[in-house]
Amino acid sequence: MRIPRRWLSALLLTGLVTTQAPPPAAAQDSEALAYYRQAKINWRQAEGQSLTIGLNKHPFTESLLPLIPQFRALTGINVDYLILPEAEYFTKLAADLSQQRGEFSVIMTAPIRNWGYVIPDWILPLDGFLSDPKLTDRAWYNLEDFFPGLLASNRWSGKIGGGIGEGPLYSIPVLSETYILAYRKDIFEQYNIKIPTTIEEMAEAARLVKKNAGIAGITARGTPSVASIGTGFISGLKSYTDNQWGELDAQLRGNLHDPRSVKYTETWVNMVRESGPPNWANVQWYDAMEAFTAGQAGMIADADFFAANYEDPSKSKVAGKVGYALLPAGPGGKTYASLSTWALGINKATKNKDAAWLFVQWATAQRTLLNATLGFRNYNPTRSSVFNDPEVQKVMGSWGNGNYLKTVARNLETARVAWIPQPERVRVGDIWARSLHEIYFQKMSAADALKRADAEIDKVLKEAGIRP
Amino acid sequence: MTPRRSLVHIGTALAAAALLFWTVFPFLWILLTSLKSPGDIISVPPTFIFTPTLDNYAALVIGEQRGQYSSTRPDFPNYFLNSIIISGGAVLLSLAAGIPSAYALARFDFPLKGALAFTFMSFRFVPFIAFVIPLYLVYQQLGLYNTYSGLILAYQLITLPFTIWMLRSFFQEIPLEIQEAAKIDGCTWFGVLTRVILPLSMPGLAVTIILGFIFCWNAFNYPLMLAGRQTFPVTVGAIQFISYEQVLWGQMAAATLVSALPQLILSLMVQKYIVRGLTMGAVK
Repeated sequence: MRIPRRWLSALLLTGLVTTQAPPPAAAQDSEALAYYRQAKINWRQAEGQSLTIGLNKHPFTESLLPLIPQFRALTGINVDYLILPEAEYFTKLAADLSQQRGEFSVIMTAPIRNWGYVIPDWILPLDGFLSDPKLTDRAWYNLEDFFPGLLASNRWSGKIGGGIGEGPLYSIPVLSETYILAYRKDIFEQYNIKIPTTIEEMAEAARLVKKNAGIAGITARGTPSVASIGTGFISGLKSYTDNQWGELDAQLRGNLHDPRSVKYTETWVNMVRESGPPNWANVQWYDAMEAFTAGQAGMIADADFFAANYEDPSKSKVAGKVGYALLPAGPGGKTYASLSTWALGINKATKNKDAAWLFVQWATAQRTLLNATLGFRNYNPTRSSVFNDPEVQKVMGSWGNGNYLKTVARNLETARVAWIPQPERVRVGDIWARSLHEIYFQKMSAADALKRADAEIDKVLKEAGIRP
Repeated sequence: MTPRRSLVHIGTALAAAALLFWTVFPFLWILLTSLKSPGDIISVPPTFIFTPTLDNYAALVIGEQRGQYSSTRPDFPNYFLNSIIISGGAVLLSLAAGIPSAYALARFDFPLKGALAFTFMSFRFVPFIAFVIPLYLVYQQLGLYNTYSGLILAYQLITLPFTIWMLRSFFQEIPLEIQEAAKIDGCTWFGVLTRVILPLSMPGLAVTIILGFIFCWNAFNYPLMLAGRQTFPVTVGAIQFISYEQVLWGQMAAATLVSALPQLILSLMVQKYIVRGLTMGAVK
């Protein structure tokens, strides 16, 4: 009995010890510290203070955890953290922000999330920190290194219905995603299928893949929630209307019944019904991504960085067989994909504001973000120096024979946040997605379903006091 | 054996097999998933013949990164320990408070008895969200947020009403005559409870403890809002395998199976009590 018990305690001990991240090698550490100490600020000005960081489960987050001791060595600030998957994270964050308890000093957010936080005055503008030479060495930090479009998407004037890119900067982007078309190059070549440039051609390509290869022509998110709208679907619609249309009109009334929107929606939903996966109505982002990775679909119109999974030979059946292209354009010939970033912001209720900013500055510094991308697959990078780093270029450049990089770079030229800024975006998106289900299950025509959704949206925005 | 009877037997066996399949299949599926590598997990149609791997289990304890397929640092052993402390503590506290309450409600007469019993019950059907935001605020102020004691207290909303109502009905089953005989022999009300009522309701106690423990073990919303990284139980721990760009199904399956073990072992240990407890008072 003695031996097994010893084994058991040894096993338990190993478990307890090894769950702590091993300290990084001392040499590497001092070299890293030297990098951050080049900044002409006093990193130790908030020494002894404590921060709790609220983070979404994310490759960027994974990359920060082992480095937290390094931040402590640099600044003398104690950091605790809490990490949860997206849905649970935002539930918990909303509880903290709305009670103004300041539990989380630094938060992980996104432009579309900021719209809900700015109006009740829950998060801090960051411009003050950036312009204070005591707190930020602008030359070292090099804010200009961030892609301008990504920074702009994190600015908002606070005006409902517009003002993206104007006004204060509320968060610093750490990851960007745009939406592109990934397709099975091998199947398209074998059956001589044309890479689609219009939504009609896309539906036709989906039909041909299904007919010839016997797999779903396209896979897409389909649950009746805002998540099914915000990626490929809305990007295609913005492009179809040459970026001349939004889900709300100038008076903030529902605008889904616009004839262009009706036509596009009809084509999209018919395509998904005829050539999509049979369980479309239940497909989450990971179902769609995994179906494509497992070789079960000919096309997917979704986040560009999913490519990291498609091209991962340890789990993908389609690595090396994927082509990347812009989403179908509208009559003007241009694509206007939507764009999103994950970003770090600061809770207004936090007591240690300067310490929080020092953390944000450290976590979004060039070296930290480069490490996140190289070591933890944090694609796509938000700093152009990281994007253009030779190692990063080598990895991303290998996807789709360089096609991935070219597509993403071209997409970024015109991509912008597709949603109309207002705090009830999630509810509007949910209503919108439910109308797609009514069309899919042929309960209503596209025109009727979207008209009904508009009426519902009008009611919701009125109740929320957004519209008189 | 007549042909007719053997036909009935075959039918029963088939029905039992179907029921068994229905019950066990999800577990079997999770077990298979936990032994697969990422490529096998998402393959369509599902593979049943594959090279099994224990990587997913190893990752639960050590967390690691291999090549392009990144794992995570899930702190799983800590979550597991937290679950045992919180669920065990909550059940013990519920018993300490629930046994006297249930006894009083079963055997004594006092004003507003029915209303009181109903009030306890009402905690069971008020949605958790009605409690959780006020609790969150109060806990932050009292320093109970992200502590074991705070969670054990909050879990009383799950276990205490249930414990009281279960035990009350078990106590009521015991014939009054036995209690009176004990009193004649000189027992105080406390003696009656500890020497007569409790020993006689062992099956009921076992069922209450097991079910209470399982309810606590499965709780998700309370710990999500009231616990932090240091006190998260396995339920919140298991969703840590959903990342932004991928879902680590294999590790999640391994975590789910390991998490289910304590409930399974406990249930097997007191199986005979459970059967008796669940059927007790069925014919009255």
